[in-house]
Amino acid sequence: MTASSTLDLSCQELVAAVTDYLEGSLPLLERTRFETHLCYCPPCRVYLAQMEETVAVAGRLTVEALPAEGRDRLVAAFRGWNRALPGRKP
Amino acid sequence: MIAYKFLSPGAVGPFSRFQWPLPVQGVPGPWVEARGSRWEGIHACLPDDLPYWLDAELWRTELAGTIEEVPLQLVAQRGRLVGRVDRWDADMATRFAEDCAMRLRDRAVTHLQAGGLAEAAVALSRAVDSAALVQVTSSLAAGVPGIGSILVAFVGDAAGAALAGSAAGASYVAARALDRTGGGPAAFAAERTVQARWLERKLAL
Repeated sequence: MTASSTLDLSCQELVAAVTDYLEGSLPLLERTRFETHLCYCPPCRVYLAQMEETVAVAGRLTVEALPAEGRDRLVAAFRGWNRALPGRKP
Repeated sequence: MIAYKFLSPGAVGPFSRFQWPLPVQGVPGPWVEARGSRWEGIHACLPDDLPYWLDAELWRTELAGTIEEVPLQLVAQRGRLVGRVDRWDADMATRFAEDCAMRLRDRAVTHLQAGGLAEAAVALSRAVDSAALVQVTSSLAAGVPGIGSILVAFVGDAAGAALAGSAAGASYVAARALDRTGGGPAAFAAERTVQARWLERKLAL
């Protein structure tokens, strides 16, 4: 048994690792930390479910499938987000 | 070897969402192998690590083939469900959560007494269930200084988790509290060991 809080994962760390988890690329120890966190943290379980759903839905989308208007709005939104970052020049 | 596996209701893997084939009339379910996905390997654990994986159902699981022991779990080439640990149910989970919250309450009471906060210690010691603990910790929070206030807040969190039916939450908070209030990782591990022994004893593992 290795029962140490050094194995503990914070919610922020879980968020940072979620893509690797969903892609199955987390090393076993990191995956263990990830999953034991999920056992006691309902908000992170909800977050993971939302991410899985997002990946499932987005995975069915192609650039060609996007309506032109939707594509333009998405690009504009990303440009706006980039400008809003602290320290970023417009 | 026989190990243990917590599953979500209906014998579903909490992470893989795999529907485990059930034993029938005392005959173990069929062997399962997990290959070629991110869920590679059959995951189970020894009694020492049960508190880390709490869920609705607990199953005795036979592991075979290559078995790797890693922190907090075993990963095997194949596994099958042998039988459900019937003693682990919602009622037992509530008792476990309450036990964790009460043990943390006792630590907090000792701490408050040692710090000369006799009145607060008495108030806390008189709370004999999670509902009372939530109430008393809420009223004590502002009047207790230093680490004592953190401990009292953790007691309230553990009791709140117990009230909400989250054995995993209450047991985690109980261990985390001892870590964060000066005990460090050793205190966290010690509390998890106490929890594991409780489960072993009550579930007759």
